[in-house]
Amino acid sequence: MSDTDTMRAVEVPEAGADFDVTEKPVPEPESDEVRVAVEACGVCHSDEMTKEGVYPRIEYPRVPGHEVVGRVDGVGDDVTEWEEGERVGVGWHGGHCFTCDACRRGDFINCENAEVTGIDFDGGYAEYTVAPHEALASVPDDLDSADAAPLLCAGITTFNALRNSDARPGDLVAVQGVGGLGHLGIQYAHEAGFEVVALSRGTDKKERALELGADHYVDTEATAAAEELQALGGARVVLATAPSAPAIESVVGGLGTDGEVIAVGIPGNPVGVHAGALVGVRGSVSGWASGTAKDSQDTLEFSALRDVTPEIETFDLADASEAYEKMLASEVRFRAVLEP
Amino acid sequence: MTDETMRAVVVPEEDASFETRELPVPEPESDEVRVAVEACGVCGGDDAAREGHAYGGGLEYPRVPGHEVVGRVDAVGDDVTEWEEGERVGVGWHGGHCFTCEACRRGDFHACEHADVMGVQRDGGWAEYTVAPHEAVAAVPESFDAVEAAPLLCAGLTTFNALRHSDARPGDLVAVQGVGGLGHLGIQYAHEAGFETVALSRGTDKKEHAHDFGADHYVDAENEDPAEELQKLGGASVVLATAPSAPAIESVVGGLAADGRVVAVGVPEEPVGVHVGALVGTRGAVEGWASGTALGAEETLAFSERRAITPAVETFDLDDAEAAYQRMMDSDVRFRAVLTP
Repeated sequence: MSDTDTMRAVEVPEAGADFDVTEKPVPEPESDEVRVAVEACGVCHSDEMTKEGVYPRIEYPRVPGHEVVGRVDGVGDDVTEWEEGERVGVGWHGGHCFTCDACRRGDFINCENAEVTGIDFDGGYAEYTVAPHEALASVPDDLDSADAAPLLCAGITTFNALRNSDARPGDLVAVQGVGGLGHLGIQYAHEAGFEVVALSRGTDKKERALELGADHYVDTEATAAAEELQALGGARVVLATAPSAPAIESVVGGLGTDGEVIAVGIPGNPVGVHAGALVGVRGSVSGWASGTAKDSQDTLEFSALRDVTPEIETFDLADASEAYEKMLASEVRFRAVLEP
Repeated sequence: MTDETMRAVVVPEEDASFETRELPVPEPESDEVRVAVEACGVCGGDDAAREGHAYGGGLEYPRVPGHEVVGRVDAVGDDVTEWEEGERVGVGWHGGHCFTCEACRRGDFHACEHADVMGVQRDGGWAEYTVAPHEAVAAVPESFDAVEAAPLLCAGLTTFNALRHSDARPGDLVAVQGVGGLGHLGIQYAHEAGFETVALSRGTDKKEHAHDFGADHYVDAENEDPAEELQKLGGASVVLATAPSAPAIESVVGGLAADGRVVAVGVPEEPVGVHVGALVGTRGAVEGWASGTALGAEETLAFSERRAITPAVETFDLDDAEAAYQRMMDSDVRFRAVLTP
């Protein structure tokens, strides 16, 4: 592509500013990078970090978006494992250095120099994006691009948190929040053989939660989540997707022996945990952050194998602001996806 | 009930054929429960009663086999507090533990130094009545057919427990070797646990069944090399080996992925020859798993009910125990034989 080619993209001009739909040059891949012609990009709560400048070190203007699916459109000279035309995805984890201690241990997610898509480099709210070769996942043919996109962050985060937990088939697993992450978490938990409890405020999402595979639904507005979980035997895992400290605090008392609250949604304020409740059951409150490209590929393949797809609302790139605001207001059923 | 008698199948002496006899209805000791049997499965493990020498000998005969018992509590000993007459219960292989040995004090009841096996060290369920220690009894939900619940007490518990205690996670490749009494349940559990499931069996007779049970792939081990086929699929995290055949187990070790495990639940008489190089290369292992406790049985039943997992059974009258056993040993049963008194 020549220097004169341009593309549509959505930028955050500076921290706290509104999205700007703009024309900018199509990016050229470096020698170890791959250019992706974007077909779909999910809108994730974490895009707020780019929009509001919550994350340190962001250089503006910046194109957000870390749930990217598209086709390889150009490869750098040193890239051997990807070819033009292949369908690929890029998630939150935007590459690693291979040389720090964590990388040498194979723990790429903890790379000291790890980059985040849409934060450290321009992401997928655009017609094209480039990413390091090691940040790419192959997307199975069975998945639509718009369906695959949310699996690159909402999907991998919930699937990876659950499969790396100590919960086993038959164990009671609760998913707190029935939104972008939660509606996938319920499906993965069901397909993993867990007895699944959906926790949400009100009854609007009850029917949908049961359809997605929940065995039980707890309206946390009407009843105490911890009590209800104890009545079901106590949870081995509560996957907390809602970024709310009070919500997370309300489930700690619902853990069974060796139970774990795994937070994947990040509240702005600290979560107050009563150590006594943890000591009594040998329980814990822990966190989990997405995964590598290989984990994404495992997520995509599992989703294809078990027909796990997100429920999405699609928006044109130019309507990124509207999609983002609906997402923040929890009005999307259940994941917003931008299409260029 | 002291003077009353019941029909029971016994092994009269080591290596002898089964006989149906009239025996006194057993009285429960103070810590025991008597169960009026409604169904009892026929398991490869029943050869432990018949061929006691293969298991170290020292068994007392005549012996009533049977460790996949389902029935109703008919009487309870004076010290039993948790069971009442009329409750639906089951008893599996693990026939009780002492609560006082080192293993029991650690809570590892299955490794109890004084554990009794139902139908081997004590009379089992091929009878109208059996007694079992209170701690060996599992609650069976009323929703179950007795005949469909029985095989879950051993074949079900063993495969479910082996899989859920393995390191395999949703999306991992898990192979079930043998599509018989254990295997046909193992495939269903593996599928419901979210594993990409491979059924391994000889010939193609069971291929369609295997897919119906939830297998994503089928490998005809007669015409294909199972290790090669598993490697083509990415390598197995777990191979659940249900067929009690050393050559069969040996043939899958090369199909393991990194950190893979061959988990043997079928026990061949002869040693399994393992090439350590194949294990070192993958950090792999060949290991064993034996059933579980009464609570494990209850969890197996609960999971089976929640996920609509039922065994495919053929029922036989107690008098036909010999025929049921022979059909089981010849792998002719589709897929579990169950005796009803």
